[in-house]
Amino acid sequence: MSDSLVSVNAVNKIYQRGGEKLVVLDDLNLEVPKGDFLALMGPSGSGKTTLLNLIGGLDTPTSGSVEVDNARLDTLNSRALSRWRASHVGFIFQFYNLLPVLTAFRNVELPLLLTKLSSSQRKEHVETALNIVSLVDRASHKPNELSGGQQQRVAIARALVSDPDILICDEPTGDLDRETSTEILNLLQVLNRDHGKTILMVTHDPMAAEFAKRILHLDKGKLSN
Amino acid sequence: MYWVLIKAGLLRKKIRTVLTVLSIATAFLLFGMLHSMSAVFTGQMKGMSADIIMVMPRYNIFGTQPYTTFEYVKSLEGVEKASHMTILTSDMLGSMFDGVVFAVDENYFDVYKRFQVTDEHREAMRLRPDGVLVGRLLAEQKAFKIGDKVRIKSHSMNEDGSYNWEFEVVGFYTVQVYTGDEIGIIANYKYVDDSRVSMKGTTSYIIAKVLSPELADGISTKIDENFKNSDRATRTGPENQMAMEMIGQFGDIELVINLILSAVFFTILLVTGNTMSQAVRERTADLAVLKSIGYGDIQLFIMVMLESFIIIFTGLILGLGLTLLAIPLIVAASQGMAEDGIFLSTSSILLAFTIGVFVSLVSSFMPARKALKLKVVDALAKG
Ligand SMILES: Nc1ncnc2c1ncn2[C@@H]1O[C@H](COP(=O)(O)OP(=O)(O)O)[C@@H](O)[C@H]1O
Ligand SMILES: [Mg+2]
Repeated sequence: MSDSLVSVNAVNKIYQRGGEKLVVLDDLNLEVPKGDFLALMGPSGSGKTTLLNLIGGLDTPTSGSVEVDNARLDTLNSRALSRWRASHVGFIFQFYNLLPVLTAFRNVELPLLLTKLSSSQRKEHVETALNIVSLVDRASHKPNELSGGQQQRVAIARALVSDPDILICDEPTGDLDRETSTEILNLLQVLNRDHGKTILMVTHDPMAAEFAKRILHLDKGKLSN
Repeated sequence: MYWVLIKAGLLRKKIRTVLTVLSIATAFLLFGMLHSMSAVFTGQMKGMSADIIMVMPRYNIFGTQPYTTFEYVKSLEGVEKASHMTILTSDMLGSMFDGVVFAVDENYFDVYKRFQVTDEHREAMRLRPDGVLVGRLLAEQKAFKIGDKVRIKSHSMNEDGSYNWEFEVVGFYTVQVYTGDEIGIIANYKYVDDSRVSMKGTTSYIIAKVLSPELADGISTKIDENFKNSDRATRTGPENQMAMEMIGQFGDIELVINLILSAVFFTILLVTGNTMSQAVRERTADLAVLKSIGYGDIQLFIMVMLESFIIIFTGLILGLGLTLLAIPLIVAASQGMAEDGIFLSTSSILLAFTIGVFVSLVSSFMPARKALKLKVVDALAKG
């Protein structure tokens, strides 16, 4: 057993397209130690999202093993995977994906509704998460009353609220302007440094990648430095 | 846990939710009204007893039968007593609301206990050959008083060669259980038959009380067999069954109601099914996010199901609620005719709920399954 939080071994991901085989990940290996902040770069369609989805337990490899926090994700069924996701991983997407009719508070609370926490305990956790992203004063706002950067911060709070070890961010600044991107990236750095979150982030933007501790490139199904 | 999400789902497109609920409410209002109304036709059967049989002309319910048929029925073993009634009004349907005059045998009230009269009024009737007893409800509606004249047109010719008949009100009668029946005018058969020059010695319906309800079917069959293939063929049966058949003569009400209701529920099915599949389609991203957060496939399946249950049952309760509010208004507007005839029975309510459950399940199954099958990876893949 390694001391890595994430350990991807000899993973293949192959899509069948008509009669054609599309090899997206080709015998890929990756070790991510606890506390890492890793930026994944690579051309569009190179399989970055596919790799993140495997590590986040949203998808399973064609072959090879994916181990996160000592759980063999490639062997779990979809029910076990969703239970695993609820407590181990937080997702941050490019388009925030908040539920439009719910307030920021309710959006952040969503993951906690799956737990046994009482409503006052949930309130405490939600407020802590909103506090970390500096949005306590916007708790009662709906997504359409918030700016893009603020919506992304709500999404980050939602990813944080169940206190997962690992945050998975798929182009988190892809839809934001430079200034706001910097804000979000600073926030991710704080989460990594001060809150001990291991972060995997896909980005197109070399400037964004600079915020990470290390950068890997994905191309033709392989990772390189 | 579900409630927050379901509320979020319902509120996402408020107007659409409201419209869907309203169309379901309308459908259930229609359901409620039709079912309450059908009680008007079936409600009068509540008071009928199983040991009363009716003998009617087989091929024409407005036709007549010879007096000898009555005597035959009376003579049968198992028949305790018998009476008969003759419809005098020529346009029975047309004068339904003006009071149909029917002439009855002296012992009518002894045989047919559902209709009741005080001894005093019965005596007045006996003393005055052209006296009539007016149904209480009709009397109230038309403000009939004792001593008033009742004039009608008949298909029986009077002594004076005309078809006009005149009677005098000597009292009133009431009907047990279904007061909507108190709309007739009862005359003396003997007087009517003596006075008419046509159709003498005939009667319309024969009513017999049998010794016990179990005998009713056997005796009925025996009577019908006896007159089979003759010009006085009969149709005999327990009165509730006969009443049902008479209603059938006005059109198959049950069938019409059921056809309308089927159309209504097919519509609900489509409306809800459409709403739910749209709701799931436009929430693909939401559902994907929920799944990524850790919501299970089954949980989301149940969530979509519950959402449609809530829509349908809100509509259902609203619709039946409106029905319950509307019934007193209709009863009031009917001036008593519909009293205790229009009501929403427990079985109708149960049927509505059964339909509600069924429609919810059917209309939301496919959308819910779509939510269940939704793959996060595909749903979140952009371009
Ligand atoms: N469900 C799928 N079926 C078939 N091909 C897919 C599927 N998902 C992704 N792909 C393909 O796999 C490749 C990698 O996709 P993705 O991981 O989204 O790339 P990236 O995130 O690096 O842009 C693309 O060529 C894409 O078209
Ligand atoms: Mg991608």
